[in-house]
Amino acid sequence: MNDLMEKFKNSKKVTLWLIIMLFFTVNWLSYSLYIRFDLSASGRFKLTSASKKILRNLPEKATIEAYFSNDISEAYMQPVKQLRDFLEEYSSSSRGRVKLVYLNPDDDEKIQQKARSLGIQPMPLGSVDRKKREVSKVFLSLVIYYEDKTQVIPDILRQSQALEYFLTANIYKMAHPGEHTVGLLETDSEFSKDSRDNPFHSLEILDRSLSSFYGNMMPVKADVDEIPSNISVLFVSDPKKLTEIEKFNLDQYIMRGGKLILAMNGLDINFNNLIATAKTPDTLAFFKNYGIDIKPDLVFDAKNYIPFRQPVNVIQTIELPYPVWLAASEEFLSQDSLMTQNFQFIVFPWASSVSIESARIKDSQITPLASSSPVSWTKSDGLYISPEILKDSLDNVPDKSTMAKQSLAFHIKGKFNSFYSGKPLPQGKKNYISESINPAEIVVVSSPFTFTNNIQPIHIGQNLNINFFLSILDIMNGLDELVKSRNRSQMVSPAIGPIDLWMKNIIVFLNFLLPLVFIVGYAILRIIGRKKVSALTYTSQKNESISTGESHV
Amino acid sequence: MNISWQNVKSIYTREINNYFNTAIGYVFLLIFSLFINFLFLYLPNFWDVNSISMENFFSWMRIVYLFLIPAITMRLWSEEKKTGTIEVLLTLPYQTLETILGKYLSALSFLGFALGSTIFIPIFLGTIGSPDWMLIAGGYIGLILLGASYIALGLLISWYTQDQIIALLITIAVCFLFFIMGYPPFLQFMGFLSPIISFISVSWHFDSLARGMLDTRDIIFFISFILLFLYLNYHSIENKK
Repeated sequence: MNDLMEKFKNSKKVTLWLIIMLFFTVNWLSYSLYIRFDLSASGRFKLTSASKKILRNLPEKATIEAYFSNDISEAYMQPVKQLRDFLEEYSSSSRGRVKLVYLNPDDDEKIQQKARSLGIQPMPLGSVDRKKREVSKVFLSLVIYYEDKTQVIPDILRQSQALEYFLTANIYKMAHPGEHTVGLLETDSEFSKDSRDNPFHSLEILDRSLSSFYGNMMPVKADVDEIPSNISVLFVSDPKKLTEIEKFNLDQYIMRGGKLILAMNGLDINFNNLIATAKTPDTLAFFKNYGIDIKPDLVFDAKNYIPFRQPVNVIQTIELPYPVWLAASEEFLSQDSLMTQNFQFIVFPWASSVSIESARIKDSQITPLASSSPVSWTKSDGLYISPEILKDSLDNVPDKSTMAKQSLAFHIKGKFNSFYSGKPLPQGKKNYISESINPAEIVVVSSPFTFTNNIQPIHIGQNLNINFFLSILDIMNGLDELVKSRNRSQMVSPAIGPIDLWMKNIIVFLNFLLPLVFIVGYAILRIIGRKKVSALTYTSQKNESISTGESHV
Repeated sequence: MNISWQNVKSIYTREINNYFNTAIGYVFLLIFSLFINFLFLYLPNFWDVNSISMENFFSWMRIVYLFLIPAITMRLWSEEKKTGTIEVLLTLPYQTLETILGKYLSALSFLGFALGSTIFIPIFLGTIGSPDWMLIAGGYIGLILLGASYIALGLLISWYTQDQIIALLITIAVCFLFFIMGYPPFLQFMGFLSPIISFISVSWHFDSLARGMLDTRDIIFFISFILLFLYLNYHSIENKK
């Protein structure tokens, strides 16, 4: 028996198989205990401190059930692996506040039944190769449980780009229900979340984007009752005309220290005859009382604009310069405010210039958020906005001395005087607050189209614009940390700055040349080194042979 | 088993001289350098992509490695066998492991030199913008680990052949196999084995590193992969002795 054991121990084949088994075992074990380091400067693979803070401070524990099929189409294996890694990191970063449970419904009837009862269905996941198109149905859904609340995320792959924010937002909303309600002032305005006629007037995408965290915007009618106190931020989108009662209720909301987002320009854009005409001065004058001076003009920018794509035929389009679709790039967005920090650009279609009269605001804190480039100018009332007409405007730009940056958005904090100070109150109103009790906060954006459903080609900025709105909301609600979590999903590799052609050619040339110099240089150094060594060897051998009396031929 | 690093160094010096004492080594490096720069700058056009990132470079290196590493490792054992120096080498008072390590480290150094010639790419990226240096460092760590794994594999294959060209072709084929194991067209045919197959694919583990995620699972995989193939090489030589 001992001999047998000895033979077994010394057997090379046994050792070989043990080593192979060890390879698999070590790797298998490495999956149960591992550490990951995010090397990227932006920390794009790690959880933001904002998410960690929210998760670690959850009043109750949350559970995430991941309904993941094992039999995933090969094309999706890598993204699903990344998802699993992310979820594990998400759970472990919460320090036990978020429990993660994986459920594989593939062959388990009970789990399938549970999934169905939650409204989870296997979703088709397609992959195409050269020979065939394969579509399989798999489970890739999450269910979040918090106390007695349940939130189902049926298609997790769709959210994978901004999953961290999406999960954190959902968990936060479940843990703090109704804490932050966004109201949308329903007044005489073309802009609404149900608008179907013109995408430029529809706030439907914005409302949908808000729902994951803040819930849908709550319609607020200010023509009868005062603005409800549970509204944490009120969004006012381009009111054409405010009734006296609406003005009064809005004024008193500000006096009570309310928070307001005002998206409004100084001209009405008529899409039927493509003319921009002056707005009722009455509404503009109302906001002027709070120091917000929206001018009745449109800003033209010769540098930062999005061109208009004019269809030539079914396939082709041509780009026409359209200097009234302003794209305020990073350098013209405030980097001091989290509202606009880290944005590549924000689109302001048909924006007006705006200025703030600080004298009208007590204890004011005024932060300019965005502006056009220095090669901008304004044009007033009665403007044709047809791309066909405006395409030539860049050929006839005004004199440089008349061009300047035009402010497009501000963040204002401070105390205001009531619009009704020294004025008769609306009928039926007897008392009013004449001066702000608490500091109010207003963000003014000089284009109501900034947050609407946009059409090609300015839809490219839509996500950024909606994130701009969400950032404003986060900060107004005191959730500054959350902004960082969301903004990270919009970070991309930095772009190359403007480089002249000759510089590009030099860079390419040197990129080819320098490695050659490096290799050839090393070769020459080595040859010289070897020659020195062989010369030394030859000399020492010669000296040796002379001393021993041998002759060299 | 006590390893004499002096012996390892002797073998290492001999092997590294074999790479650099002939013009072939330099020509090989020049071609590699021109080729990888061309791929990085023109496929797709670097200026059109408009991104200060080396993602494209790391993607191409995965493919280039399939030919670069076999070319580095093909002669390590097969030439010794063909010229008959293997008998002398194995009878020298060196342990098998010392010989393997000497050869392995020399091939790794040659690869390091080849990678060193690409260092001008990140330098130029730095002159025209602000690349994410840590992502670049992560990519290079991934390339070194991937290369080190392929070298261990190539060294073993070189042992089994007497002809360099055969060693080259087999190593290309096997490296390619380990490479595509992680990709859908291959996994499609593997059925229920696909999770295990994808796990032992080197590309599967390289992807995380190239994205800038340093994961202990990937590091452990690469190190264990290298050790396994070096051991297989050791086992093969000891069996032959």
